[in-house]
Order: sequence, then structure tokens, then C-alpha cells
Amino acid sequence: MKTNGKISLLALTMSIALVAAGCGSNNNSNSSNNSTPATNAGTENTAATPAKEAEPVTITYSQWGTAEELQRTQELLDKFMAANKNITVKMEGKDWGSYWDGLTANAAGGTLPDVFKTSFAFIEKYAELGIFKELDGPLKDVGFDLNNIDPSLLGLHKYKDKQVSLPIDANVIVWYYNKTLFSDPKTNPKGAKEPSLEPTWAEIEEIATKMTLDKNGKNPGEAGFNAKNIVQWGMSISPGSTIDWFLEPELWSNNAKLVNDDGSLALDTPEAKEVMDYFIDITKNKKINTTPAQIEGLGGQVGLAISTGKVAMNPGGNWNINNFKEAKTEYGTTYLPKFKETKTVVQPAGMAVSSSTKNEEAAYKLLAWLAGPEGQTELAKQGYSIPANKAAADAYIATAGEANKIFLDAQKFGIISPFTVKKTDLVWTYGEQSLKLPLAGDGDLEAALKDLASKMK
Amino acid sequence: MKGSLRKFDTPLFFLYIAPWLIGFALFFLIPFGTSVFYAFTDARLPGSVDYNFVGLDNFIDMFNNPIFGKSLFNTFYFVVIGVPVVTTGMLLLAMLLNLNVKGIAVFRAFYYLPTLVPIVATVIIWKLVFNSEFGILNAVLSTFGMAKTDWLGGEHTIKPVIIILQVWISGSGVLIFLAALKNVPKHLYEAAHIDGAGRFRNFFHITLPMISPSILFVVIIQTMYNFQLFTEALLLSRGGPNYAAYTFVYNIYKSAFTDLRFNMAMTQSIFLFALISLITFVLMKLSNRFVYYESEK
Repeated sequence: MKTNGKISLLALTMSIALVAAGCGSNNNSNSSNNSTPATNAGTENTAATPAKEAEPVTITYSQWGTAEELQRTQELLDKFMAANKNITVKMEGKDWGSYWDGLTANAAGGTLPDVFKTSFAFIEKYAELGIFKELDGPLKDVGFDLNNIDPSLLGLHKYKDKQVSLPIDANVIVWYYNKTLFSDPKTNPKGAKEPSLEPTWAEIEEIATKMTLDKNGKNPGEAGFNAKNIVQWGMSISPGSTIDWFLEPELWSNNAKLVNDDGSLALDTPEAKEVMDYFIDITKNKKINTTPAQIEGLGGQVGLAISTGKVAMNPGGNWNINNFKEAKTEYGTTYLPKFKETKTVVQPAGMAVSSSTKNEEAAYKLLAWLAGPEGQTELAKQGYSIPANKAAADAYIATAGEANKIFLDAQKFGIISPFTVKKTDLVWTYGEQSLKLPLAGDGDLEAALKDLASKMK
Repeated sequence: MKGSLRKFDTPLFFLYIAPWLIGFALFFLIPFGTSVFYAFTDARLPGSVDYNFVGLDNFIDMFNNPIFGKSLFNTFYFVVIGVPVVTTGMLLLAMLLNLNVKGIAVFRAFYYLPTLVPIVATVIIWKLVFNSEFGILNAVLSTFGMAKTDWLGGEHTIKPVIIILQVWISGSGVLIFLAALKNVPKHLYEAAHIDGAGRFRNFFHITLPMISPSILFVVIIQTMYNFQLFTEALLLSRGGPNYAAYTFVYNIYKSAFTDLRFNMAMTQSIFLFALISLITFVLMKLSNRFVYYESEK
């Protein structure tokens, strides 16, 4: 019995030792073959601070994006690494939603990537957590020319007047339409014209009415139109779930605002109510716009509705052209429809350096390359993203063609509306829950606005 | 000899249990202790060195937040209505699968299959079923002349949809009930039959008492599951519309990852832990009156 116990003890001890050894050997092999991304790279470079030109250094870079977008970024990073032989950049890519959860978890766990992508909408919120390095000094040291980037874009990446992130692209919201639906008499029996470059809502409403068809081919307003059996919609908008990139510029278009200067909700003005009532009317009464439930049924993405072949027009970002190309959707673009003035939103994504990076020199090099003329020109040559650096504008036009020049031109209509923490809460925490259905004519808008205003306080 | 064995057994016992103890300390005790600590601070990120103790402020904030109230109400809805509905559904299915009919093994496999499908895939399937415009359910209902219902977009329909989804994935509970039903001694039914008992009397006076330990187990598991309901609420409607499916854990997730207030998320987690512990304790206490353990008789 005693012997058996000793044998058991020995066996257990050996098992634990074996497991521990296994773990240890794994770690060793990981660090030696350099194949693991983020965490190992960080550990590996601790001893290399400050990074010297000749010493090899590995840094981590993180961003959101589709598989294609990540592949294109990898191509940029490959070019950077070719020009900086001693720096290896390991990329971690995620989709938009999990990217922010991951970044937050990294911040909480002290494992932030050295360089990472940022959105203008989250600068203040994350800056309050202290995750960004201040860039003014280091950029000056490396001689980075900030004059090539529009001050309004730079301003959106500042926190307390300090540059904490550098804009790298200037995404913009436009209005898309499905050219195939317009050119086919079966889907356009009334011969609706394609929208003009700078359309009014009256023009869009007229077109959308003609492009909305029930199963018998009848339009809204025609005798016998069956609203319960619509097979093609004139447009797809969801102001309540696209507050920051659609509702807000439309409010500005009618001389209204989303939030007041003190951060309170500004949707109680007659101009704002006019905008909201209009969107309710075209959805609930005129039936020329998809309801939130119909959007879900069409794939759940307002910005991609025209690629389903069942919607004639929708708002979207310049990045959506990738999706349209993949879906082989022949698309046309105009500026966002206007009430009084044409307005849009410019959404510059940026790059930041982690406050906890152990590889500052390499991180600043990567940042300066990606946001500088060289990296931005390479980005422009890919033809998908609009470079924020003016030095790369010509390269973008040369690659993307005149048809996509609208994305550069639309920037002059961009509203200046920085994201504060309160506005971020409105857009991402409370707004969609409260306004999505009421702005589609389902529910009490007044009660929803009252509820929202109280939450904003 | 006996004494020396005991001496030897004690360290051996701790050595055998060491992996669990280490895991328990690393993955429960330390995180739990850390959460309790940060719940009384203004640290927005765990690991922050720059923080102040704020006493009960986070708990007061939590109770003053109207969204907290809504999420608590929704969670209780799922516990109070969902748990009985799902448990009853499991029991009914188990009784059906306990019938001696040809091919019953195939049926048992079919009913268990949905449990093997990852929850994310299951939710996507049900999103397609319940879609108001293109969903199968509305298509079937429309053949009977019924109007389209926005199941996922309606404040009053989203919660029942989540409960139905839980019945769909209830295979594990069904298996537990099936095993319990199989263990009910046949001679009890035979004796009851001789005494003239009918099916209902058999069910309420033999079957239910004999499987009551399994019922208690399933109810506790289901209660904990519903208190921690998250994936269904997130994927079906992102907690909406108008917070109708905003569950307690979804609120914790939003506090941490959207509001970037981990201290508040930890405060809410501690409250939830206390709530689940209390309710489980009450259930266990009540079980003395309702649960029949044959082995103790």
C-alpha cells in the first residue's frame, strides 16, 4: 500500500513536471522561431530598448478590416519592412466589432500592440484611458510634415490639443445607386432617371417612388399598390442605426444639429424634427424606404443594400466600393441628398502608438511611414482608401480613376463635428436602442427623444 | 501502519487536488478578489495604478442607471418565465423520447443534434426563421392569412423568441430527464396500476417525485444560464429593440467594452454573483420540501 502510494506520488510529480516542461519548451520554440504575434514580440523586444537602427526589432501592428483589407495592409507592411530591414512588423487583424473589444481587452491586460489603427470617433474615449503616446514631439523629431494633412482631419485625432493619432485615410459618406436596376425596364418600368450629382430629397423621393415595386409591378401611390408585398425598394436608409454617418449630416443639411455644444441632445428643434418626420414619412407612409426588419432580411447592412439587387439607392462609405466590386454590382455615386445644403461626414481613420510600447523608435518609424507621403502613396496606388496625406492625392486619382474623384470632392461638404465622450455614448450606447424603430415610424418618437435626452444627462 | 498511511495520504491528497486548487485560485479566486477590489474604486481599467477608492459610489451609480433596471427586469423575465417554460419543454420532450416506438433512437439523436451546433450558428438560423420579411415562420403563417409579425424587432416578441430558441437547444436537459425517467422502477407503476391509478396520477405521484432530483438540477442549471444570458441577446437583436432584450450580462459587457468602465462592469458582476448565489441557496433550501431522494429513505 505504502509502495503504491509512493509510486502514485512519483507518477503524479513526473506528470506535472512533464506538463511544465512541455509548456516551457513551447515557449522556447515560440520565441526562437519568431512565429507568434503580439505577446511574444513584446517580450522579445523588452531587452532591445531603445531599438537601434541595426538591431533587429519586432513590433506588433493591429487594425480592423475585411480579409481583403487586411491583405492590402500586409502588402503595405511588406513594403515598409523592405525599406526598413531591421524592423519586422507582425499584423493582427480583426473585424470592426471585435477589434474594439480586443483593443479594450489589450488595454486592460497591458498587452496593447505597438502601433494600432484608431477611429476619430473613439479618440477621446480611449485617450481618457491613457493608451496613446503623445505624438507632437516625436513627429517633430523625425521631421514629419503635418502641413500635408488637413487641419480638420488632424483636429479629429487630437486629445486636449495634443496629437495622439495621425489620420491615414479620409473616408467619406456618399449616396450609391444600382445602375443595373435603373437601366433594366423590368426593374425600372417607369423609367426613373439616375439621381443627379447633388440631389435634393424631393428628387430622391420622386426616383424612389418610381423604383419601389410590389409583386405586380405597381408603385406606391398607384391604385392597387400592395405595400405588404414589396419586391423592390427605392432606397434603404436607417437613420436610427446610422446616427453618426447619416442622420447627423442630414440634420446639418437642414441647419439642425445632433448635439449642442454642451453635449446635450439637440433633436428638439423644428429643423431637426422636420428631418426626422420626413424619414418617418417616407418609410411608414410612402413605403419607399426599407424598414429595419426589411434591412435585416436583406443582410442587415444599410450600406450594402443595393448589392442585394432589391434596393435602388442607399447611403454608404467610400470603402463600400470594394463590396460592390466583389458582388459585381454596377454602382453610381452622388453626394448625400440634401434638405437645404449638401453635407456629409468625413471619417478619418488613424494610427496611434501605444503608451506602453517598448519599441518607440520602430513604432514611430512605422507610423511616420504609413501616414507620410511614401506609405500614403502606396495606399493610394491600391485604389481603395482615400489617403489623408495630400501628397498622395494624385496617386489616388491616377489609380482609382475620375469616377471615384467624387470621394475627394465630397470632402468639402464634410461637417466639423468632433466626437466627445457624450456623443460617443449617444451614437454607440443609447441612440440606436432608442431611435432605430421610432425613426422608421414604429413607436413614439417624442417619448424616445425624451428618454434619450434624459440618458444623455 | 494505519497512522503512517494517513500521514502519507494528506500530502498526497493535496498533491492530487493541486491542479484544481491552482486553477481555482488563478481563474476564480484571484479574478474575483480583484473584481471586488476594483468595484470600490474609480479605475476604469483593471491594472490601473492611478485610482481612488470611491466607497459604494459604483453600486449607487448602478442602481440609479435606468438601463440597469431594464436589464435586471429582462433577466428576471427569462428566469421567471423562461426557466419553467424551457424545463417543461425539456420534460415533455424527454417523455416523448421515452416511449417505446420503432426508431426512437433516431428521434433521440435528432432532438439532441441542435445542441451540438455552435450557439452562434443556431442564432443565425433562428434569425432567418423569424425574419419578418423573408422568414419561414411568417411565410407559413401567411398561408393561414395571418399578418406579418416583426418577431425580432418587436419589444413584446423578442423575449419569447429567445425562450423558444432555448427550447430548441435543450438537448442536454432532455438527456438528463430521459436518464431519470429510465431509472424510475417499473414495479412502482405496476403497483399503482393494480391500485387503479391512471396516467396522470402515475405522473404526478410516481414519475415527478422520482425524477425530482433531476428537475432540481436542471432548474438550477437553467436559472444560472438565464441569469447569464448573453449570446442570444447580442446576436439576435443586440439587446434591442429599445432595450427589450438587454440582459444583465449584456449590460456588463457594454459597461466594460463600450463604456470602458470596467469598475462598473465588476460592480455589476459582483451583484450578479450575489444574486445567483442567493437564488441557488433558496432553491436548494426549498428543495428539501419538494425533492425526493430515494437513497436517503
